[in-house]
Order: sequence, then C-alpha cells, then structure tokens
Amino acid sequence: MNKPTSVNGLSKWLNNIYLKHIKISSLRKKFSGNQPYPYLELNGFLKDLQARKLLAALTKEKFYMKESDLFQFSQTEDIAASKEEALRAFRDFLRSKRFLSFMESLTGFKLKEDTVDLSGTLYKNTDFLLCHDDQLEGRKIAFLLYLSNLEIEDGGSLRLFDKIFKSFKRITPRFNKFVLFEVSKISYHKIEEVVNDKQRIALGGWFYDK
Amino acid sequence: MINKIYLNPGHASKIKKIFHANKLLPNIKLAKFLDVAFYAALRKEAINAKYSQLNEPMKYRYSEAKTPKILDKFLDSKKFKDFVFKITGKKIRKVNGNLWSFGWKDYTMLRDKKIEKPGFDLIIDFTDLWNEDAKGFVVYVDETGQHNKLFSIGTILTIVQRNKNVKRYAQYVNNLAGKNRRYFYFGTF
Repeated sequence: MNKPTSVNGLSKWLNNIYLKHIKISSLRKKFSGNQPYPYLELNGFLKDLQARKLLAALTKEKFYMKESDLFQFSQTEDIAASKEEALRAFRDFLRSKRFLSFMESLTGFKLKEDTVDLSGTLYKNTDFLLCHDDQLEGRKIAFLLYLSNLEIEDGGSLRLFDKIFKSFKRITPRFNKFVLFEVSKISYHKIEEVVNDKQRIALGGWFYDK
Repeated sequence: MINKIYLNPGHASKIKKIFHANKLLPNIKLAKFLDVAFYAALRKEAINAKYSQLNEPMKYRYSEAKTPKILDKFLDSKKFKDFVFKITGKKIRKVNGNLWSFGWKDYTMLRDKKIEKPGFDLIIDFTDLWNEDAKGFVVYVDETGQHNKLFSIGTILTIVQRNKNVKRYAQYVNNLAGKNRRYFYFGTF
C-alpha cells in the first residue's frame, strides 16, 4: 500500500515517528500554541545513520572564524558550495517539495519553493551569539540540527526571549535534535557562550516566505 | 598629575604626528600618562565607585558609575586641556563621561540606527590584571568596515578621533575573565 502523499520520500531521512499524520497534527498545535512566538524542538529528528553521516561530512568541511560585536564562532560556506555529497543531499532534501510541504504542515506557513539557506556552525570555548531577532527580508523559519551533545553547564544553549527580554525557553544541544522557530520582529534569541572545551556543532539556516 | 615625560615640549609634536598618522581613525595611546601617586589615587576611586548595572540585551550590558570629583577636576584643568589641544588641535570645553566596568558577559553593540556625531573619545584605563583573550576591549569600525581593536590596560590614556561613519563597541567579555573586571573612564568631547 502507498504511503500518504505528504509522507512519500520523507522516510529516507526522517525518523518514523515524524511521519505519522497524528504526530504532525499534534506538533502543529504545539508549534502555533507556543508563546510568545512559535517554536518546536524535535528530538531524534533524522534517522540515526543519516545524522551520523552528516556529522562525518561536516567535520571534513572548512570552518571560517567569524567575529563582530554580535558574535564569535566558526562557520562553513553555504552548503550549496560543499564538495561533501552527504551535505549537499541533505540540502537538496530540505528544499525539496516533500520536505517543504512537511514544514508547511508543521507550521501552517507557506514557504518559498526550492529555497533554503544552510551552513555548518562550530562553537568552541568562548564562542557566543548575542541577542538578536534574525530578521532579514523574506526569512520565515529559522532552524538548527544539532550534531553534538552539550549540558547546560557547558553553555551553547539556545535561549529564547520575550518582548521584555525575559528568557522563556532554554534549548540545550542534543545530537540529532531539530529546532525551529518563526522569524519575526519579536523572535529575540541568543546562543550562550560555550565555556569549556566541548564543541557545539550544528547545521542551521532559514526557510523563506513564499 | 601628568607624567613629566609627556610635558617635555619636544614630545608634543612627536605625539601629534603619531595621533594623525592613521587618517581614517586618528588615535594615540599614552602609557603611564599620569604620575604614579595620582594614578593610584584615581584607580582606588574608580574601583571603589558605586556602579549600577545597565542591561538592554539588544544594545549593551555593563556597569557604570559617576566620574569621581578628583578626576572631573583633572579633566577640567587647563594643563590637561592644553595638552590635548597640542595633540589633537581640538579645544576641549568639557569632557563628558562616566566610569565603566566590564566583567564576564558584558558588552556593548554597534547601534546601526544611532549614528553618533563626529568627535573625540577619551579613555583612561584602570585595569591592572587582564587576560587579553578574555576580550572586553573597545573596537572602532571605520568607514571601510575595518575593525580596529584598541588594546588598553591600566595607566594608558587613549584618545580617538571619530570621523563621520565611525562606530564603536566594547567586545563581549568571555569566561576567561573569571572574576576579574575591567575598569576605565570613558568620556567624549
């Protein structure tokens, strides 16, 4: 028997629990119900083998140190330019009709076809990203796929803030956790400074408004 | 109060030349600018001042205190104003500023929407022990986008001329600072 259309082609990448319609429906409610702005954290998002392949490929990428008043961390170029097949395949998957349709089902947003920004980031001891809103023309959803494990005391957690900059959510990096949130004029967030020799490794980027 | 070596008439023109050497960001750093006793008195006042924390996450987080009277009086003295005039060519009416203190997690950001009028910055540093890797230094971004970090520790007087489109920020202080703090006077004229 054929799987429902929205699930077709997703099963190569996504963990089976995220392919069930009832799960998608409950996650959509959770996403839109999260206040003051919608977000989701999805543990064990990809099939474990796929996540491991991505980590292996990402460790072969060249990271460039970036520093300004707002941040200090290392980043790859956009994965579109990567020579690593696994990374390019993941990017192709993220911008595929089937995955964008899946994201639309989760969020209720209409997303721009065939489009995703994707790069790898590496935070080492003393790296940080201060509070900002991510707003840039067309950005609709910010996302992260964590590829390393950190504990609260290591730093590197994502902190979400409300309008008066009170933190309402702290998300600690866990391998294969996918995090997404709506980009808006109030999507204030930061990444805590990493305070020891552990590394925060992730793939992340943005989906765009249709 | 000013270290005698800086009052040597022959030195002023050399210092002036160094100050103007960087066309985009004229600046000078003068180590041991104050005589030892006066610096020690000022430093004691700076460290023991009553600081209040300022925290607007999208703009800054640091602590600030009023300028001690002894420092205000010095900055308003004819001797100091004449010295600055010889170097910068700018007549000081009044230096406006405060004591700043930075510890772990403190910073100021560039504020794109707020373009400051051209002018001069004056920093007197009272930080004795500081790990350079902990950051926390003032960085000037000139009109070409070049970031110019002005390293500074105790005894150093820094004067910077901010031309049009020059902006500044204080680097985020990271965990390598431990419990140490930076203390400095930051003024503009």
